[in-house]
Amino acid sequence: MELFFKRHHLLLILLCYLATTLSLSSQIHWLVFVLAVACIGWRVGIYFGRLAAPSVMVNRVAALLGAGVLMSVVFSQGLFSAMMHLIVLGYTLKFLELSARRDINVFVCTGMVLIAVFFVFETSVMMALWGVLLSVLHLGLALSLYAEHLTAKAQTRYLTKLVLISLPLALMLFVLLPRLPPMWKLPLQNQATTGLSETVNPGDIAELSRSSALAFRASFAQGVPPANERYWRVMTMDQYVQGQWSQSESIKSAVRLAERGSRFNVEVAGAAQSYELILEPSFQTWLPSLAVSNGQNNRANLLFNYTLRNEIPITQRSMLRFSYFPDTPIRYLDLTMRQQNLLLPESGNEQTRAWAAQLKQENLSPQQQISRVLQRYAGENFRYTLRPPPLGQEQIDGFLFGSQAGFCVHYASSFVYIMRLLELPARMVTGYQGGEWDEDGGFLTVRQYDAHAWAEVYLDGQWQRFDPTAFVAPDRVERGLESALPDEFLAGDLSLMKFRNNALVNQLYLTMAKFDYVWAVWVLNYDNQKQFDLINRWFGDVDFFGQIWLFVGFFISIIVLMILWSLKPWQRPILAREDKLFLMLHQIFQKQGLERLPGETVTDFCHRMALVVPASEAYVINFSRVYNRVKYAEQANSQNEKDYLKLSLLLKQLRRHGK
Amino acid sequence: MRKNVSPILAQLNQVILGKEAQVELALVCLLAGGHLLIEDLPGMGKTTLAQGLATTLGLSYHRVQFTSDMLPADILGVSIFDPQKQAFHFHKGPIFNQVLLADEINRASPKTQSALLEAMAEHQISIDSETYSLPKPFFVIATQNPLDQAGTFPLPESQLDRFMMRIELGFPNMEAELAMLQGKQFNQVSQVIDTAELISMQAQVREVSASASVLNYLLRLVAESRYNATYPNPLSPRCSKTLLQAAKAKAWVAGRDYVLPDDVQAVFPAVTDHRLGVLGGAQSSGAALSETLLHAVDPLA
Repeated sequence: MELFFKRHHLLLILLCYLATTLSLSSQIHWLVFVLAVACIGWRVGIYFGRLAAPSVMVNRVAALLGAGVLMSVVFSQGLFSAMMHLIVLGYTLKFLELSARRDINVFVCTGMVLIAVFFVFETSVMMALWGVLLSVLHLGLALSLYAEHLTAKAQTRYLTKLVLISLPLALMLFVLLPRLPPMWKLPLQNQATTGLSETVNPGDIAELSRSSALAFRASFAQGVPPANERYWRVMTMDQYVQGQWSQSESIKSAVRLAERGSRFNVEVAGAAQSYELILEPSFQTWLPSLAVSNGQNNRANLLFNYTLRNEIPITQRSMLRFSYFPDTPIRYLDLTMRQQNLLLPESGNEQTRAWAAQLKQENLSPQQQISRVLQRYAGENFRYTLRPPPLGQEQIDGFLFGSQAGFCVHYASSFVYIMRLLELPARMVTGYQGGEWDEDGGFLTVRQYDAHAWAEVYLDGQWQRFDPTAFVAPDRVERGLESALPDEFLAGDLSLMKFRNNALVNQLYLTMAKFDYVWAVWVLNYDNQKQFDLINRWFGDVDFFGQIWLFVGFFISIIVLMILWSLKPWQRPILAREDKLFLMLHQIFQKQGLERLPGETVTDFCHRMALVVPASEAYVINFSRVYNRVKYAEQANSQNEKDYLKLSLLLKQLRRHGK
Repeated sequence: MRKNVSPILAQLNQVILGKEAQVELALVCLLAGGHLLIEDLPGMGKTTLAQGLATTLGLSYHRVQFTSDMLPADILGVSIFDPQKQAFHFHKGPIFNQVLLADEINRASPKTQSALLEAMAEHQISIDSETYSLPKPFFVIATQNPLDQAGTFPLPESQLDRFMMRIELGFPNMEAELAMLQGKQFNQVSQVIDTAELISMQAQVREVSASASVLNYLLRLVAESRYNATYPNPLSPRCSKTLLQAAKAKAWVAGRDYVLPDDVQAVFPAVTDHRLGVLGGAQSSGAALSETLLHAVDPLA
C-alpha cells in the first residue's frame, strides 16, 4: 500500500493524539491507553513496512469489541462519560485505518470534539489557552496534508492567518450565541472534595490554613462590608461527641431536604444588599453566605440554621447571586433544637465543669457571664497559633487550663462548651472570615486559609455571634491570618503568596488575580442574563425576539461576508457583452462534455467544435468571425451594435439547430 | 489571404514543397521588418528558402558562407590605402546588400558573429570611426545547424534576441519529397514584387491595429514568463515589441487590419522559442516552453 502521508504527518498525528488524550487523561479509562499503545504500535509497524494494514473485518471487530468492553466498564459513570469514551475509542482506532485523506479528516474532526469535551472539564485561563493550542495543532495537521505544495514557513503563516481571522468570529459567536442548559449530567469521578468538611476536629482548619487555594470571590453591589463583619457562614455544628463537633441528624436531614429543593422561609427585615459569589469547585453542596442571605432564581436553598445549600455540588467555577439582610436576626429555635444545642457528654473536662459551675453560682446575667468568659480569654496567657501542642483526652481542659495555645477551633470549641455548661444554647459555626479586598477590581478574594470557626449563642430571642478568637488575636479578624501569624502563615506552601512583600511579585500577583476574576465573571459565567444585559447595553432595549433577529442578522452578515471574501467580486474583471455570449456558447458545448482547451482562442475553439459537432458548423464559424470583429477590430459603434445582434442571433440559432 | 501576398507565397511554395506554414512565417517575419534565423540539419532547404525569399521579393542579396576562420572584415568590408589618392578607401563588404544570406552562421567564430550585431539592430555599421548606412530594407537571413553538430559556435543570447523569428523546416512529407524527386519544383524563381512595393507593404503592416484586449493578452504572456520560475530566460521588452510586430504582419497577411489572439499564437513559438532558452532546437522531452506558456495563459480572461 502506498502511503499518502509522510513521516512528519505521522509524527503530527501522534502528537495531536497524545496531547489531546493526555489532557483528558483524568477522565479517560486506562483501558483506552492500553488500546492506544496497540493501535499506535500497529500503525508504526505499517509505516515501516513490518506489518500489513488491518483488514476491514479486523477494524470492525476491534471497534465492536472495544465499544463493548468500554461500555461495560464506564457505563455506570453516566451518559456523558459513555459518549466521551465512544469518541475517544473512535479517535484511537483511527490509527488502524489511515488509508486516505478522508481518515485524517475524521481524525481531526474527532480531535476537535474531544477538545470541546476538554473545555467541559477544564475552565482556567491556562487550560483554555492549552485547548486553543490543541485545536491549532489539529488544524496544522489538516493543513500540512492539504497544503503540501507550501513550504513549512508558508504553512505556518497561513495557519496563523486562519486562526487570527477566526478569532473575532469566535468572539462574536461567544457573545451572541444563545446559551443552552447542559443536556447531560457531568460525571463526578476522581474528584476530591475541598474546603470545609462536615465535621470539625481541631486540626482540620489548621490544615486549610496552610493552603492558599482560592475558595471563592465576591463582589458587592452596595459596597463591601467592613473586615470584622465579613463572617461567611457555611455550616453550624451542634453536636459534640468524643471531642469532635459535627452536625446533628436534624441538620443533616434538613440538608438533604434543601438539596432536593425545599426552602426554609424567613421573614426578612431591613434593607437588602446584593452580592455575587464566584465559587471555586468544592464538589460539595454547601455555600458560604453572609447572614441572612437569600438566593434568588438559583438553586441555593436556605436551611433552618440560616445557611445555604446548593441543589447540585459545585463542580465547576460557578457564579451565584444573593441578597443579604444584615438587619435580619437569626431567630429560629424550637424545642428539640434547644435540647440539641445544650447537649454535652455526661462527664469529662472536669476542670472546665468546675469553673463553669463556679461562674454559675455568681448569679450573673447571661451577658455578664459571657463577658466574664471572654475576659478570661483576653486576660490570661492565651496564645494564637496554628501549631498548638497536642491535647490529651480531655481536650477542653487541656486547652483552657493547660496549653492555652490554639487557633479558632480551640477557642470556639471551648467557648461553646462553656456556654452549654452555663445552660445557654450555643453552637459552633464554620465558614470563612475576612478576605482580601481588591479596590480596583472591586472584588473580595477569600482563600482557604481564611477558613474560620466561631460561636453563636441564643440570647434574647436570637442567635448572636461571638468570636472568642477576636479577643486573643484581634488582627486575625481585622486584617487576616497573614498579619496575625506572619511566621506560621503558609508554612510549607510554595505559591507566589509567600513572596508578596516583594512589590513586583505583588503587582504580578494582583494582576493575575484580577485577570482570573474577569475570566471567571465574563467567560465562565457568561450566562443568558449577562448576555442579555450586554446586548441591551450595546443595542438599546432588545426583547427576546429582537435578540433572535440580532443573532440571525449577525449570522447572515457573516455568511455574506464569507461569500464576498471567497468570490472577491471587486477583483473580477467586468465581462464584455460579447464575452458573455461566448461563455453561453461555451456552456452549450460544456453540456455535451466539450471543454475549451487551455490557451485555446475563440477561433480555434469554434473551428474545433465545428469538426466535433458538424451540425453546429454554420453557426460557430460565423460566430467566431463576428466575435473577433466585435472584440478586436476597430470599427464604428453602429457596426458593433449590428455585429452584437448578429452574435446573439447566431447563438439562438445554435441553441435551436446546432445540436 | 491578402491578394498581393498569395502570388509570393505560391512561388515560394513551389521552391520549398509542403512547408506552407514555415514559408508563411518567413514572409511574415520579413514583412514585419525582422531578421530571420532558419535552423535545421544540412540539406533541408534552408538556403533554398532564403534565396527564394530574396529573389521573389526583388531584393539585392549576397550570400556569405560562414566558416570558422572568417573575420569581421570579410562581412563588413575593409579600408584599403589608395596610393593614387593618398587616402584610405573603404571597400564595402557583402553586408551592403538588402538581404545578407548568412549561411551556417554558427560555424563562424563569436567575433565574426558579433560583427553582425550593430548592423542588425541599427541598420548601420561603424568602421574606423566612420558610420555607413545600410540599404533599405535590410534583412539578415541566417541559417544554422543544430548545435550538437561538430564545428559549431552557439550564437550568444544577445545575438539570438536580434532575430525576430527562428523557424525550423523539418523533414518534408512523402508526397512533397516525391514531387521534388520528380523534378517538378525546379521552376525558375522570378521576382514577384519590387522594393517599393515591399516597403509599402511594411508600412501597411505597421498600420494594423491591436485592440486593448490583444495587448493585454500579449502582456500576460510576457508577464507569465517573467514571474513563473518554469522559464529560465524571461522575455524581454524587445521581445514583446517584436511579438506585436510579427502578430500584426501575420494579421495583415491573413487579410485583416486588426490583430487576433490567434495571430499572436501563430507567431509565438517562432518568436519566443529561441529566446526562452530552448537552444539547439532539439527539445529533450515534453512540449516546447512556448507551448507551455501558451497553455498557461488564457487568451480570453
